[in-house]
Amino acid sequence: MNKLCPGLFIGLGTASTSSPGFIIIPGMRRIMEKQLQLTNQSLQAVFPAYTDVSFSDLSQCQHLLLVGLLNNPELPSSIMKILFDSMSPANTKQSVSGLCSRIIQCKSACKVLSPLTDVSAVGADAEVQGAMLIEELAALLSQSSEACQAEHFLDSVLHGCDGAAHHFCLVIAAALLTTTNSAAQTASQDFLLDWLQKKHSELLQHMCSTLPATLVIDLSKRHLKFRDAYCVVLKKWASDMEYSISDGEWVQTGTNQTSVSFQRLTEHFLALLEACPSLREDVVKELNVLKISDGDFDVRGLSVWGDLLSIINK
Amino acid sequence: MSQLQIQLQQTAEPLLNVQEMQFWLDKAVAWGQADSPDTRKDTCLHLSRLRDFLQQLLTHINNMNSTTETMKTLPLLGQFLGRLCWNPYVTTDATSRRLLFQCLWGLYTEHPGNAVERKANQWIRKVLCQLATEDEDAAAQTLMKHTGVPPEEYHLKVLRKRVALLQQSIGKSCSSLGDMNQRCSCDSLLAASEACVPLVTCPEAAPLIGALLQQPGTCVRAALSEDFLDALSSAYSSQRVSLEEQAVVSLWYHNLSSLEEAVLRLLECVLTKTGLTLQKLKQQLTESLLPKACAQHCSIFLVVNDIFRSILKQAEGAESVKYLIQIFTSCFLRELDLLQHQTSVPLKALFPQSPQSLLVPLVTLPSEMPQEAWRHHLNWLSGSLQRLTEEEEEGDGDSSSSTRGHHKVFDAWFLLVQCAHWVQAAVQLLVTSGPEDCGPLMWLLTFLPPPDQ
Repeated sequence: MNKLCPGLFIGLGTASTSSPGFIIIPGMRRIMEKQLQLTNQSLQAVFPAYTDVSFSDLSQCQHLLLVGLLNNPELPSSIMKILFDSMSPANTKQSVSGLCSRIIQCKSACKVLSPLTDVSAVGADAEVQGAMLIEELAALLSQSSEACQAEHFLDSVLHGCDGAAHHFCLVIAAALLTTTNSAAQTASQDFLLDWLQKKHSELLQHMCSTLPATLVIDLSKRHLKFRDAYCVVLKKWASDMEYSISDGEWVQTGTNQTSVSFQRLTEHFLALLEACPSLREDVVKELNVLKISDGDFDVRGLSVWGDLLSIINK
Repeated sequence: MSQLQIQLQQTAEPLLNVQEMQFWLDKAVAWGQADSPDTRKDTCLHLSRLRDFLQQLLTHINNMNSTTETMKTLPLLGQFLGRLCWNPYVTTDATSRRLLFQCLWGLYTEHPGNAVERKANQWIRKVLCQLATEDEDAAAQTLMKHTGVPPEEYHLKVLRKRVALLQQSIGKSCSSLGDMNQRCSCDSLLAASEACVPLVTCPEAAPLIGALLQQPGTCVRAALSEDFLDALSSAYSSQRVSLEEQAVVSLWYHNLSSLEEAVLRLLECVLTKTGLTLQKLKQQLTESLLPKACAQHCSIFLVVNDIFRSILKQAEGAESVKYLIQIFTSCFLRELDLLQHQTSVPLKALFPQSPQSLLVPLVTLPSEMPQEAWRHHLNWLSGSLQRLTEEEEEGDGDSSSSTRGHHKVFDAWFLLVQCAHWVQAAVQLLVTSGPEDCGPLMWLLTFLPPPDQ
């Protein structure tokens, strides 16, 4: 843009900053996207350097405008000075004056506090992100009975976290451990678990193997579905194991992404059974059945189920 | 410094700053290179001096006619400011952030005349833009995008969450742990308080700061950083931060200079006002929070008393000072009464220097006694005080015992000043009763310690 429209700047000041999530009414979205396309085209015709605004950008309008303004070399310094003004009191949260100064203060304060250890097992960032996830999911699920929008949301977030798989696991864990204040939030946690189990079992496996043990146990205590899924994962790991005579131990076979030693596997089992004693009977029964199907040997090294059982029964 | 030297210093000011500039640039480089507990500590240690230096720089920049001139006198300035911009400890503190930005704007030229100025403009815009719109990590960005939460709100949420989590971890003091061998979290108090040095004026950090201050501090390892207390104290006295009542009391408890400052401010406020009614005075005292603080912590009362003592000596018994001390003590005793069911501090501990035999009789209010008993009580008080004075006069043998005796008389007199309700009772009796037996009462009214040697 060669000239700056003062009107745009006023828009920055009045844009709402506390929208909990963009409410999507199915037919409305199509209409808006069509209109956006037309607007994009006409603006592109006038400003060659124009970059299209997509539908999902709409919720970030104020931020996009700010980025655009600050990157524009024609922005008058007087306006920049208003944005970076550090004299206005901090209570005027909704005002434009000092907006950038407040952003910088906030970010810096977070950095200053981040080396300090706190009580969180996932970290403050993951906790906030987890809460955002659950809240948005709850909003989406209450909007329409169709699950596809909520699924699409989760898929998009997963895709966006590409390359940060471990952090995404922390966010999911945090989301599942958020204290829920409403039935809608509990339902969204349930939905999240279903999505994990059905579509992303490898992510679930990744969570079970990489997250701190206490976290996995907390998740198992909190959500029955997770507990059961965790059991399935543990059994799968066990079934993938072969006894190595040279090592004198059970080792994982195959090109499994999650590498778990037999020792770790038994630790997982023991911790789970200690935290969920009601599970013990069923697990022992199941392992027994599997042991019998393997030949019901008591000697070590012949059946992974038998060896597990002997450790559990101690 | 001679006149000539002063003049030279003024004209040679840029030269002075170049050497200082090198010092601060080296500091900024060191801070930016490693993020270790030592560098963090060093940054917090130097923050207030850095603010002063930034103020000097700002004055210097404003005195120059152009950016070109400024850069000629301080070629390292750009590097220095740039490094500071990326130091979160500097940008978190309100004052240093303001000064830093003002320095940057001071280097901005509306109508650049040469390449240096144009480059400076570009660089300033770029730095500020990056600081405000720096890209987040992938997870944060994607969640912000898909949930419609803007970055400003997101960062605020994260900050509040961090503060809340830290508050929780600090709350787990070792007094709550049953097992002595369990490692308490008290050593983290020091680290947390140090990290809060640049955060004293950040309103979001207030709950954490309050929690830090109000730790019981019974554990040996539960120490708060001195820098933190000083920073908080100076921010509070210059009204850059507002603290909750309990936090203020805790601050005074931890930091002597902030307490002394508060007392002196109160004295200044009260003693310079003329025509202050009793009601207004009581209001001022209550608002100052000092009587309440004294009631909660014996040590605070002792300090306040010491200050009153020395002021009284300096003021040579000025009536306004005596009156203030009397009303303050009565406010304090009332606050103490309110707390007595929670803490029972013996009077002896609160008035260690006063003659013990006179303590309870003087502290008791006339209203707590039937009026008929006043005369007898006052006679007894007068007699005791007279005996005390005579003992001091007699024991003039060696200098040490006489000084001790002298102190005793002063202490007794000071206690009487604090409990001047009995002097008022004496006046009331004198006025209402007949001329008989007014000797002891008169003595009480005219009792003064001998002048200081």
